[in-house]
Amino acid sequence: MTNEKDTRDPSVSATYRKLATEEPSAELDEQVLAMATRIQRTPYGMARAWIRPVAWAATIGLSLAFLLEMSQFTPIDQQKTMLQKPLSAEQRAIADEAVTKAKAEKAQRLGVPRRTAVPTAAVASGAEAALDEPEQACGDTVRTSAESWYECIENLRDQGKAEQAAVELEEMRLAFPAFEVPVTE
Amino acid sequence: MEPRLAYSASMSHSPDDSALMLRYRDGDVAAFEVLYRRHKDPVYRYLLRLSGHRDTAEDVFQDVWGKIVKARASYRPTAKFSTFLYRVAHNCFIDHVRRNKRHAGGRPLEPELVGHPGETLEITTERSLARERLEAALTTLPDEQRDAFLLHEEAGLGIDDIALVTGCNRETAKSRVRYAVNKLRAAIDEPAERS
Repeated sequence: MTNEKDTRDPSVSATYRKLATEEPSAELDEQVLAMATRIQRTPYGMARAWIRPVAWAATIGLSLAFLLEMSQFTPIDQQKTMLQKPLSAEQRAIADEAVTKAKAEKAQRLGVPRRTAVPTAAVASGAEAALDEPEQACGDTVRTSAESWYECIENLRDQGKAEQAAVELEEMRLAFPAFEVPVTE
Repeated sequence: MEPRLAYSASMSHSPDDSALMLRYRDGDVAAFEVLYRRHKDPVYRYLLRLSGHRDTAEDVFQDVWGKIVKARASYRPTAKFSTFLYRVAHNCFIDHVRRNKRHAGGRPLEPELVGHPGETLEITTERSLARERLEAALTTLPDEQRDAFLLHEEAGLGIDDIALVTGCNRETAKSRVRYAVNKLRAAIDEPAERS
């Protein structure tokens, strides 16, 4: 710890105080103050006056925007939950239609008429084989419910038609996303 | 008459100094004026006694404040403003000496021979002589001791701050101040000892 008393002498201080009375001239004061004013009024100096508040405002604005964006974002888990909800009859019809439409478009790309448009007899024709797409193994009647459709799929597997069963299972999952396939699957 | 205190000694600890500098940094020229008026006299006297030449003191004085003005953008109130100010002043003076080799330690400045009301001619003369002796003794001090004494007396800095400003360790700074004070005291008391 510094002992300031060791280095202070009242008589020396008092004498020095009486001696040291000089001040800078008024002209010198003016020069220094003019310089300080001039430098502060340069474009950079003036910009400094508003850069800080603008920077703060921008930071706060960006933070608020980010928070707002985050509050509107739906977590993936929540999205999954939403998808797992059972579909209404109308939603199921829309899903069926989408599946049919997708298949028709694919067939059209390959130059084959829509399966729904072709007669039943033609279903087993070479055109289908050319598509390398298995025939609709489960009929419309079993497709009305997930359980009956899945039973049909299991039958196909039992018959050794694994490829067709896989296609049917895929379609069934699209039509009934809420249906949980048994664990043995 | 009440003894006048070194202006910076009474003001340097004011917490407003750094705030004023920050305000000036943000565009408030009036804040700089307050800061300048607070410190201009002791800084001027520090440079005057360090150099021994009025012209040199004025040149370096302008240089010091120019640097303070330019340093406003990077100024961080990590230390006392007075320490920062005198560090700049000290370095400016060292630079000036290096640039102008003609600096030769200075010569005694002429003290003002003004008597106080009610004071006899004898007392006035004795005081005047004491000031002259002190002034002369100041010029004969080694540069480092004079620098340390002026920082202590004029700037009101403590030993740690003197060490920081002059770039030496604390013990060296303390010893420089002590030697300087002892020599000055001896110079002032010289006639009394003789009688």
